[in-house]
Amino acid sequence: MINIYGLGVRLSLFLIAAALMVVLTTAEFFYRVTYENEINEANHDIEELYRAVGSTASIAAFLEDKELAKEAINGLVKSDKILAASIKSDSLYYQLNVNEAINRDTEPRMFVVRNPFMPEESLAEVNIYPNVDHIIQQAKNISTDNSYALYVEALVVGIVALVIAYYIIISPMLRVGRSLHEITPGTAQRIDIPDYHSRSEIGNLVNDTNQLLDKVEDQFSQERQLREEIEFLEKRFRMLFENAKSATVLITEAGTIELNNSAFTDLVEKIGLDAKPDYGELLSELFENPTAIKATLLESFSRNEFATGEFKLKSVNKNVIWVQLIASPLITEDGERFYQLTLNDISNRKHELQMLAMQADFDSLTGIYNRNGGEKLLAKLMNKGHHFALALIDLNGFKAVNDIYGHDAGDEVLKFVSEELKDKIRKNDMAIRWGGDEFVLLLQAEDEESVRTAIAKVNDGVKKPFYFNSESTPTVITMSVGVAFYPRMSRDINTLIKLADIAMYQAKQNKIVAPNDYLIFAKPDSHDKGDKA
Amino acid sequence: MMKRYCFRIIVITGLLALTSVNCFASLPEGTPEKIVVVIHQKNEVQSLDKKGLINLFMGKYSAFPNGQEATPIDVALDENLKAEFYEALVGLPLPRINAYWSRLKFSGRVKPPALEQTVVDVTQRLENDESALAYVYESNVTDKMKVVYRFD
Repeated sequence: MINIYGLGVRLSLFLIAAALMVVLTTAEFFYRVTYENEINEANHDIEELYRAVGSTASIAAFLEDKELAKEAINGLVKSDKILAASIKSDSLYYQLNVNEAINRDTEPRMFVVRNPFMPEESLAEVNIYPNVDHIIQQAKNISTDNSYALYVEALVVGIVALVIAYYIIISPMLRVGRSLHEITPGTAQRIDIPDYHSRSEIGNLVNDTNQLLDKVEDQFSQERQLREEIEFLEKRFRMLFENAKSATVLITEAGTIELNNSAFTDLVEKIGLDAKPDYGELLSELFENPTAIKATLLESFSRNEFATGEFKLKSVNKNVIWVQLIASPLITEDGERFYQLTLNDISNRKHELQMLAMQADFDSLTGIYNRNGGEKLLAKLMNKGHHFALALIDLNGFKAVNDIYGHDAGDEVLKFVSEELKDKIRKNDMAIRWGGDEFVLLLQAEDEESVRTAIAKVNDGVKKPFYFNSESTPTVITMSVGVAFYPRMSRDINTLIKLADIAMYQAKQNKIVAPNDYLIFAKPDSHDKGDKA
Repeated sequence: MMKRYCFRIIVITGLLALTSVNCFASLPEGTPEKIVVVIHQKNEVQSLDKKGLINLFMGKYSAFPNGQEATPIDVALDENLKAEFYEALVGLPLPRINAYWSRLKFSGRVKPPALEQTVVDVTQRLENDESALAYVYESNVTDKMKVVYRFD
């Protein structure tokens, strides 16, 4: 209950120590004073004692009566304070213990005994020997008792101070301390002011503490609000970041990924790579052409621009992913350099564009190259310096089918022919619908013989009879073919086509008369002739 | 008639009482009657001093300075005289004198003065007892007494 290091004990010890110091310094003085007092008192007592027997002594001296004198002297010596006494006159002497007193070197007090009826006449003298030892002992005892009383008083003062300090100071402080322990900062909890302390220092301390708690509570609630706002914002930002369709990555200069969203993880997964904390400088490992990427980006950065571009990702599986990359360097306040890279998956768009390109280059009805695509193909082959044969095919009897059986039937024929062309040519050969019922085959052949073989195969397929609208008479489509060789006959595409066209026209002349002679090879010099014809 | 007589007596008595009180009051200072110490006519002692008287009356000595036996005598009934005497002799009131003798009653060695009832008895004693020593008012002194001390 009592803390020996506490204020109360300290206060009490100091008080006791101070009291003891005072007692120590004053005890000697008090002892002296008491001693002197007691000695004086004893002397006074001796006078009193003498006064009590004085009249008897006086009468004894007057009457010279020894019995009376004895009575007086014995009466005196009976007192503890008197060791010995004597009475002496001309005719009378009586003493008790005087020898002992003289042995002890005691100085007597002398009293003159007067005539009881004539005070002016001295009759005798009484010598009283004080019991000095007794008196001193008595004085010492009393002085010592007084000193002890002082010490005890000091002790009592200390204990009383401890008790008072405990009830007035320590106990309320302990209570305040306990309630302080139970308080959670930031709540509405406050310390109660101890009873009767509303205006004491402890009360002030409690008030100050409560004010501090008020401030803490205010600050806590402000911070809580701020934190909630930040959390709210952070949640939103995180949502924004995490749910973004664009893969976004924050990487260090060395390429370590500091932050990435799930879109990025998905993207990496899509191209079949393992999740790694590092994909090389500027994520270059992800791209099909790392060195080109790095060079492009660094070049932009050196101009203090953000870099953007469309790049194909490296792919372990079959997925072909194109991304639009936006990369910008970030420099923190500490001077650290980061890169923010955003990769938008543009594969779909790329695909759509390709599809669009396809639509431009292919014939929607038959699915083979249209004239546009064919021309591109031609240009490409010519650019690459390939040698090939260009066979221009025109269907015979197609117009009649259209007229008789309608366009749907015509379309059927075109589709059929296209299928046959695709089917019968070799892998490296190309089939193009040149327009209307005109087709072009680009054959990898340099001699007429291999062309003949190839075309014959095609012709066999195309010749198959058709049965339109459940008619019993089949319709047979034949074809006339003109062939020109590149680059042997011409390096110019238009000339080449013209040559093939002329040859095809010649073959067409044979369709009735010599149906088997449907394939004519162009003659380079026939170009002009043809024009003329 | 009778009543008037009685009244007169009362008045006279009252007046007498008043005068007597007056006398009493004025006696020590005004015209006090002197007390003298007397002895038997035939006693050889001619005079005594105050100290000698004290020694005799207070019991220190029982003989005159010449060795002749002395018997001090107190008047028992005349308190005034006795009181005046002791007052004059030792300056003490009677109770103190009585206390003194009470104190010494048991020691046995000293005796208080002999007692005579009245001044007349004292006068008579003085005529018969040669050792007698007594005090009387000066007016009571007879031829048979010898004055040995006179209080001023």
